[in-house]
Amino acid sequence: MDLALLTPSVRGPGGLAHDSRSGVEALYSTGYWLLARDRVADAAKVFRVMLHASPRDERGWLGLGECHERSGQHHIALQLYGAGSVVAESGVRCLVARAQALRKVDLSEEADEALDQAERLAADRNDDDLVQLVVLARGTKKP
Amino acid sequence: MNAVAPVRQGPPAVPPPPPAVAPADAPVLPLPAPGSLPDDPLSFLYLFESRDRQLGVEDGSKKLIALQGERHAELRKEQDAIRQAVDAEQQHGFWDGLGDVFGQIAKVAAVVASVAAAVATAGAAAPLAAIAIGGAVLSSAALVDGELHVLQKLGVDAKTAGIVDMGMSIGGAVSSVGAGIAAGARATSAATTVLERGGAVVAGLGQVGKGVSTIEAGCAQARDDQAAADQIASRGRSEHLQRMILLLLDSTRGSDEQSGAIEKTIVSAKTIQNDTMAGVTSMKG
Repeated sequence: MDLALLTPSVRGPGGLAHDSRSGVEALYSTGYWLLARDRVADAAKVFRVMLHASPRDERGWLGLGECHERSGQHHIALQLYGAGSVVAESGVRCLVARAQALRKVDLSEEADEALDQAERLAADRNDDDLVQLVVLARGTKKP
Repeated sequence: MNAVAPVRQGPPAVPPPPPAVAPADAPVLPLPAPGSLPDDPLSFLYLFESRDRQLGVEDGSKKLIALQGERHAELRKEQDAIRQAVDAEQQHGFWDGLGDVFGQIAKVAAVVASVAAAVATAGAAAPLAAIAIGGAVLSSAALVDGELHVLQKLGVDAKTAGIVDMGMSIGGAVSSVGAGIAAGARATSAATTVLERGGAVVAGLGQVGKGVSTIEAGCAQARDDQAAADQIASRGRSEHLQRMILLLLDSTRGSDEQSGAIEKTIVSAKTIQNDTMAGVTSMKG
């Protein structure tokens, strides 16, 4: 498969040609499917390609970060979530993932700051689902 | 007959306490879109594995230098073409096409950032194209400089052009963050600082990409903004990046194929930008 086919087209009026978007969706679905079956190494390959194809799609960063977290590489996951929160069009989920990863390495204050930032972004976007995600993440804080 | 001593019955073993159940993380990965999963996801996966097997071993340093040289030459040609198109354009409508240019730049910046992330997570076991990716990251800085000069000659004020430059340098900043992996926890706080600044820049980049109404014609150069942009760009080309690339060259294999794919992406974005501006020129001329 030519990688260029997966690159979001810049010619369409909406910025994405149908074929490229469906390719990206197929990539994400495949990666998600592999993660659900604990095939972490395979899922990482797929999410890396997804990053090349659609770098502003937050899910690629989240997926690859999840792969590294499951491998115990929390610091690499933190780098990915941080980059995703900057590059992706909506960085709320990456900020939440980053907060949860920060807790795992005992950086609670930074985790709370990341959640505060996520809450502000979610409120700015008027996205109830994202706001609920932040609330849920706060509720899973370690005692 | 051997006498066997009876087994002493010790005190009943105390069962270990149940393992503490860590509170489950909030699910951040959204569900895939219905119907998007390929009919045979394993075949989809085999495609990627076969691509990995095609990667061969290359001479890293020479390839990297050659890639940089090619991209510099290519950029100069495109700058000339853009300058010619601008010279011919006299109508205000030209700026409408320029808005699309920023969109292309944002896309290239995003590609560079993703490439840097892929390098950081590749590891020794994944045969990604370290050479090509390193070259793409380095050449993005050259692309940034080229765009800046062009934009300023188009009459874009330096502050706006500086925002574009800083946005492009996110790729370099992210990749230098990746070099901090070996530094452990210290890398996290350093990354936070870089990426938080990058967050403000990307917000600005998004505003630029939304429309050209904020672009003001003029030739004044904001030295302070330019200095800040140069600072971030130079951080992206820091020694950390160089050392990371050399480490990856030692431990991973390179690929002409990956280099070509990434190069095509960047070149196609620039070509479309050039076509757009030339098209606007011919419509208005």
